Amino acid sequence: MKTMLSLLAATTAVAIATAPAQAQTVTTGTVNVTGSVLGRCSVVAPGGSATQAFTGTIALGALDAADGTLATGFTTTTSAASGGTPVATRVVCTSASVSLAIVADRLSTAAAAVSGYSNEIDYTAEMQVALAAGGNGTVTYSTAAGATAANSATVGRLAASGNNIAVKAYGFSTRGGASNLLVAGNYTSTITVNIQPVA
Amino acid sequence: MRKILLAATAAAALSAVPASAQSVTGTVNITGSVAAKCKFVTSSQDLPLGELADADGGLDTTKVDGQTRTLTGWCNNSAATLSVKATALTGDQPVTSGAEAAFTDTVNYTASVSANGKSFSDISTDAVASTAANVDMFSGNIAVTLGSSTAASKKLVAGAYTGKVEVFLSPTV
Repeated sequence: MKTMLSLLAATTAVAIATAPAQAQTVTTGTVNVTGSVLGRCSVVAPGGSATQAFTGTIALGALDAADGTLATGFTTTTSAASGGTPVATRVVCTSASVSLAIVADRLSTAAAAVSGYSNEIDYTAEMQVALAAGGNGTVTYSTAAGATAANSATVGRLAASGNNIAVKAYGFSTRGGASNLLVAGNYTSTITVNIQPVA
Repeated sequence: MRKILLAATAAAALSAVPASAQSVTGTVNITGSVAAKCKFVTSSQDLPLGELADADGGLDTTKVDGQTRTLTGWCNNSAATLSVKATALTGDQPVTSGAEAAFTDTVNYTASVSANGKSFSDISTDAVASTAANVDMFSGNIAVTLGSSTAASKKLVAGAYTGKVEVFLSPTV
C-alpha cells in the first residue's frame, strides 16, 4: 500500500512536471509590412505642388554693341558668369542615379541677313545639378557643334534641399564671324532639358 | 526654316531618352534684342575744290562736277532710309549792291549719293533735304558726287566759298 501511494505520488509529480511543456507549443505570428517608393523625379518648388515640368526665361536684353556687332559682354560669358540670370528650380528625384539630357537651338531672329550681317547667334546651353554627395553634375549643348556626348549624362543622387537645378547660357558668338553686324529684331531660342530617374 | 529643323533635331535628341511619366522636362526660353539703328563709320570728309572761277571770271564747272568723296556706314534694318541735303557753295563776300546782274556769290549744284546700290540726290537751290527713301540693310560705302554746278551764268565774287552735303540715315521709315 505504501508502495502504491509512492507510485501515485510519483505519477502526480510527473504529471505536474509535464504541464509547462504544453505551454511552449503556442505558435508565433509574424506580420510582414512592405511598401515601395517608385523611382521618380518631380519639380517641387518651395511652397508649390509637385509637377513634371518647369519653364523659365533668360532675358538677355540688348545684344549689340555700339558698332553693331555682338556686345563683348556676351562673348566673354562663361559657365561661372553666364548671360542673363540662370533659371533655377528644385527637382526631387528618389532614385540613386539620375539621367540628364539637354538640347538647344540658336538664338535667332526672323529678319533675313545680307552680306556682312548675321541673324543667328551660337551659344552653349548648360544644365547644372547639385548632387547629394557634393559637387555638381553638368550637361551642355553647343549650338555651333550640335549633338555631342556632352549633351547627356548619368549622375548620382540629387541634393535634397534647395534649388538644385540651374539652366544657363553663355559663350555667345555671332554666326558667320565676330565682325558681322547683327540684324535688328527680337532674338529667341529655347533650351529643353530632361531629368529622369535611372532604374 | 532652320529654326524649325533645329527644333526638330532637339526634339529627336531628347526623344532618345526613354519616356517616363516620372521624368521632368524643363523649357528655358532665351530672349534678346537688337534695336534698329544706323551708324556712320566715316562720318565726315573734306572736299577742297580749289579755284572755282575760270579765266573769264565765271564758274569753272570742271572744278565742281564729278568731284566725289566717300563716307562709310551701316543700317541693320531693312526699313532703313537715306536722304541727302545739298547746301550751295556761298562766298564769304556778298555781292555789292548794283552788281547783282553780273556777279554772284552762290554756286548751286546737285549732290548725288550712292549707297547699297541705290541712288539718291538733292539740288542745292532749296533748303530742304530730299525725301527719305529706302536704302535697306547695308554696310559699306556712301559715295557723294557733285554735279550740274551752276553760277547762273554770272561771274563769281572773290572770296572763300563753302558748302556742304549732308547725308541722313534713319533706321526706320
